[in-house]
Amino acid sequence: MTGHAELQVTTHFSFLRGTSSVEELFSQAALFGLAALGITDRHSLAGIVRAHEAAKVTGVRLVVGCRLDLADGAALLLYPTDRAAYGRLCRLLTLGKARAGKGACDLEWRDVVDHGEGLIAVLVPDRPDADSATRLRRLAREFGDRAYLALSLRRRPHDQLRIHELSNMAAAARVATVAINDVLFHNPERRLLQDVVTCIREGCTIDEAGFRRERHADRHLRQPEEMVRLFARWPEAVARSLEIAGRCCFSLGALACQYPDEVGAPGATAQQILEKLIWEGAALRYPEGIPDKVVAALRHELRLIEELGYAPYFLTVHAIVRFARSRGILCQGRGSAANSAVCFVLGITAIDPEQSDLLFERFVSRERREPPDIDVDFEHERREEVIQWIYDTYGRERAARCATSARRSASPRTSPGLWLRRSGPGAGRGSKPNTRPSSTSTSMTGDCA
Amino acid sequence: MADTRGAAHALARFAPEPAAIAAPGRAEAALAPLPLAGLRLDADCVDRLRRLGFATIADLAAVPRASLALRFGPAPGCRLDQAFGRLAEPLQPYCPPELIRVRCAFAEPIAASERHVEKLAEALCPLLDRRGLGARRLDLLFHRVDGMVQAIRAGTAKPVRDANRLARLLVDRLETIDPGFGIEAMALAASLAEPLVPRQGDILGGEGASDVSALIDALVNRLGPRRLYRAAPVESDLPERSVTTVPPLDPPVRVRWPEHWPRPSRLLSPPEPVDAVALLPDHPPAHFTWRGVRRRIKRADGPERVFGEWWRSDAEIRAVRDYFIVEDENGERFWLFRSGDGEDPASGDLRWYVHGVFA
Repeated sequence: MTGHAELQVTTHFSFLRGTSSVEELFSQAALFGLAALGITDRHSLAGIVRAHEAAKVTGVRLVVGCRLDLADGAALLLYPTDRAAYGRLCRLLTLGKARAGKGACDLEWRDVVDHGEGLIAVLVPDRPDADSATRLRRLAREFGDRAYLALSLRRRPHDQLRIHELSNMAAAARVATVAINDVLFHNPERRLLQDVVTCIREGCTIDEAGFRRERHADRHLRQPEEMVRLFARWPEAVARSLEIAGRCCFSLGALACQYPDEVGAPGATAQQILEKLIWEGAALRYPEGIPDKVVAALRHELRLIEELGYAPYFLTVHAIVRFARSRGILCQGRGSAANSAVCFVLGITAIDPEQSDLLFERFVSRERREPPDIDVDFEHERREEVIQWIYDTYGRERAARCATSARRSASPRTSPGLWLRRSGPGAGRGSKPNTRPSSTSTSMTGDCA
Repeated sequence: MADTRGAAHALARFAPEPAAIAAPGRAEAALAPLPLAGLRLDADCVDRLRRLGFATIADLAAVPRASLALRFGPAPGCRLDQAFGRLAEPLQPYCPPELIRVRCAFAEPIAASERHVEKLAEALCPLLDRRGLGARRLDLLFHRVDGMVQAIRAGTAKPVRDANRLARLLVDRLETIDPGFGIEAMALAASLAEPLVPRQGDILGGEGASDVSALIDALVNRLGPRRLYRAAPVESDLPERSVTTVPPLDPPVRVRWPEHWPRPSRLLSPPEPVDAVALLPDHPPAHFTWRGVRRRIKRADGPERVFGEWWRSDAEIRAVRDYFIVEDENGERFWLFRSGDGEDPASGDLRWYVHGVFA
């Protein structure tokens, strides 16, 4: 078997560590004829969406992965083999990040083992010392044939000896080795930028940086032939990168939106509840009898909602609006949702379908296959009551606030500094700082894991 | 800057260049275009001269001295001669008033003598003691009968208040003083002093860590300030930049070189080119010729790749060196490097150098 898959690639989604974008890495990989790229950002899967797109464009396969630095100093690369393992990896990251607070990740061996089913784990050792041997034995015990040991050249004294000892260690622990390259940038020229980024991270100047710079600076993507040449003594380790890439079948394409079940609906499906609410609501809206035009619109919309499975989402928005109305909090749906007769009879929007011709397809359509979103503005002084009710009802782990970060052009009138100041202390609590501060958007986002 | 005080004064204040330097003996030419105000005459005198049409120093230097002295007294002629170096002008050392200083004058001119230096040092130490200070730098001035001043300067690595030690530092240098026709006064000043807090002694009376500062002071004062140093590591991948020198008693440097990285005991500066035959790009040479001796390589380790420090110069942006530790048939070990990574011609010209020798 010839060829090579580079399994440890750090993109600039590892903030201030990687310097190349996913697109640059993938196009370089395509140029070099690499079979696959394993994107392993530090404690993050943030880069894989772009990587998924780039993989589709360039034809180089994406191996989804993540690099973890555990609390005891061990470095692990984890690759989910299937959809369920990907879910476990996400949960593992959520756990570590929730524990450590902003910007950090605090995980231990036990956590990795608890979530480790279906994950391929590659230990990235430093020196072939007792610590590494202990970690490797533990990895072999917990992960069996899904454990690997990474061999990477560092261009230091005794490099060949180090790899030799590491591969002996792996043989003793019955763990297979894999040649990886620990890529930080796609092109050797990026080494300068890498040093600059390191200085920004460490808060020092380039003259003071000293050994905080990447001392093993040879971290660009390599052609398969070069890897074969560099690892001439360990051809099986080079070939094994393809084996791992082959075992990792998970693709982002396997992900779909999974909307959670709406609470308080025993014994009936969400669609049934929604239909009941709609006809009740319609009777209230039109006390003198529902016009035929509206009945037809409602039937049409209900059919589409059932077909696409969006009923629980309408129930959620309805529950929030009902709560706000019960407390006398002013609220009003806006945007494309106003094209829906269903939203009108549920009391979410205020455009009467009898008097105007609504274009429901602007809101939900079979062709777009995009989950709908309903924007509702709440009275800004009492918005907090609604937010707290959402937390109490759905739980803090299941509710999130979204902030949109708008990219501004660097014109003097709207300099980023000005913008940050404007949206700084008061608005920084997670509302949408770039739109009206009184609006709260609920989007149909599901639980990914 | 000039070779006389008067010329330097004028150049510093009135020369058009920000840093004017007059070569020795060229003061006259350099001062010629400068205004009269540069001559250190009083303002009234300058004013009167200007009214008579003298604008520059050259104008004044051109008129006969006798008539000048008749009208303005001796000052203009004297200042001109001082500026042009025709008249000696001894420099009076400037002493700040708070300087800790002792002085003794002699009834008869004497030669420089150790006894008097010791006496001065003994007189200085109580003054230092009273202020809780120790001397870091001493200036001993000898005022000769002919008005010249000669000086000895001695520095210490740590603040010192011990009269014997201070005296010894000065006495070591006494032979550099030329007494001329005799010395009529001597002054000793601690021109740099730092707080010296008395330390509690060991309760058992034993000496703690032995204090080598006295030895260092004696050596530094005899050899010169930069001759005595300690080597300290620097965080640089380039071997020639990975060492610096620090003063002997500086606190230990926190920087450490990485462990487990063998480095030669002797680094050649600069690296010496060798003729070598090697397989590109990953292999050490099979043999190399250095200083006329051909050596066949038995064992080797490498490459250790060292990149240029790109922020220092453009030439280093792409420069790469691949270092190899090699052992020849006699068991001698060398540190060779190839300039260039063996693949990209921009990274180096592929020539081989020996950079160090292992003991």
